[in-house]
Amino acid sequence: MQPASEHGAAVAMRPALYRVIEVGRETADAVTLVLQPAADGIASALPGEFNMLWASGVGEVPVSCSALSGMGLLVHTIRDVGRVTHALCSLTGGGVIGVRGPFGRGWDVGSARGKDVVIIAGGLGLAPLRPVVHAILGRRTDFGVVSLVVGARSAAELLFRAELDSWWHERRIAVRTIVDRPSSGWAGSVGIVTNELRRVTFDPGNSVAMVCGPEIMMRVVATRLTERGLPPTRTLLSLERNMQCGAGVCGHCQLGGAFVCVDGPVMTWDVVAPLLAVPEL
Amino acid sequence: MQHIADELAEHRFFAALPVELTTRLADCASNIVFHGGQRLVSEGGVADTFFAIRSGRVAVGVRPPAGSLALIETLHSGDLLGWSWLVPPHRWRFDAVAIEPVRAIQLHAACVRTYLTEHPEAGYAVATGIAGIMAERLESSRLRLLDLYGGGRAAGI
Ligand SMILES: Cc1cc2nc3c(=O)[nH]c(=O)nc-3n(C[C@H](O)[C@H](O)[C@H](O)COP(=O)(O)OP(=O)(O)OC[C@H]3O[C@@H](n4cnc5c(N)ncnc54)[C@H](O)[C@@H]3O)c2cc1C
Ligand code: FES
Repeated sequence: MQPASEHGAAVAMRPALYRVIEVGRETADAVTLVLQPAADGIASALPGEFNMLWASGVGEVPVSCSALSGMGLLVHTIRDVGRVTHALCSLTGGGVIGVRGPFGRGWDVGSARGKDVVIIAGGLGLAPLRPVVHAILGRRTDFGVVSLVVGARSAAELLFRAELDSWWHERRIAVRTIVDRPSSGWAGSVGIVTNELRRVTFDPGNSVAMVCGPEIMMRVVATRLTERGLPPTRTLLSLERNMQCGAGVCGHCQLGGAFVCVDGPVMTWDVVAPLLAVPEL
Repeated sequence: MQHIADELAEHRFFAALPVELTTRLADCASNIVFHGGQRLVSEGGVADTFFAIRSGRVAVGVRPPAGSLALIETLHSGDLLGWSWLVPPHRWRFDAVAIEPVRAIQLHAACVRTYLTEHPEAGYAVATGIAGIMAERLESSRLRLLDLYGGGRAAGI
């Protein structure tokens, strides 16, 4: 696997400073940050690409773009799971962080034109997929039947609730939500994401699936899609591995022969399945 | 008016079976409607029917000795409710309650069992379909134990 060019890597190593202009609470442990460049910003990203967010004095982590702004703003949805994400989730308006990116290979939305699209998100996996939904809604007639299946542990852990509701009401795409542990007010489906997936109809000969969530969920979902006749080459998944450089240099994100930061994070199931079958990878 | 055999053949579970078999099973079937809040199945009761859901949603769960239904799964149009009718001692292993008005095709278990016993090939086809449903439920339970959307780096995002 070739590392990125030295020049590219050098440019990618320099963080640009961004100021937090908005913090939105999504769930008990996840927030959405809207960031504005303090000086020169980074290039704009495509759906599924990620940035390295650097919290001063704490460290740097890869985070996907959860929306793409045409105005130089960055939108990231972050769950507080450890040191760096905690520092990022604790930011308030005016706080400054460093950003490098965009990195990686995202969702090939163009390849889904003229096809049915099945988007399956689990937990925080809706964050990297939200730009795909926005892109599809922006050119809705270019696509066939579009289904979005969102699974979460509980209703309180569903991201972007208001937006999900408005997509559901608009009915331009078929939105299905399912939670594992329903609270008393929950009127939707109960179960796990694969239970809901079996209710989605698509033409396996002319469909693309985009899947993001915990690895175990993606494995089960991709297997079910293959069983239903969807070719693994048209089943796209967004992978997560430890990252450091984000630019194909350090090897931290290596998965078999691939560097997830440059060859992914979005990869197809035919490539990913054999790699995930090896326990130590 | 649509014939019950056609309605059965349109249902996802029966659509996967040979047409002749679905036509025969229609002899054991009748249409049924439940209103919201009505119980379809009670844990421990005799499993003498099962249901092909045509519309509406059903809550499936278990009822602790004192308390309300602990919801495990919702079943919807196209889903099949009930496998206890196939497995001795033919007692329901769960509760099921209509969340909203439900239209279903009810299959009378004794009639279906008699036909399947006399026609082992048909019995195998139906048992395989039911085993598929049970395998899916088992997998769901396993994934829930693993906390499908939860933390842990190995679990990804
Ligand atoms: C391409 C890519 C895109 C990503 N996009 C997003 C995103 O949009 N939003 C987001 O919040 N995260 C995203 N992540 C995950 C994020 O990078 C990690 O959560 C982060 O690196 C954790 O760093 P930390 O210092 O906060 O935790 P650490 O201090 O490194 O870990 C602390 C504890 O948290 C656990 N942990 C670490 N990572 C995770 C995780 N992902 N899930 C659950 N538990 C974990 C560890 O096992 C450890 O016990 C993405 C990762 C990749 C590779
Ligand atoms: S090679 Fe450094 S993070 Fe991928």
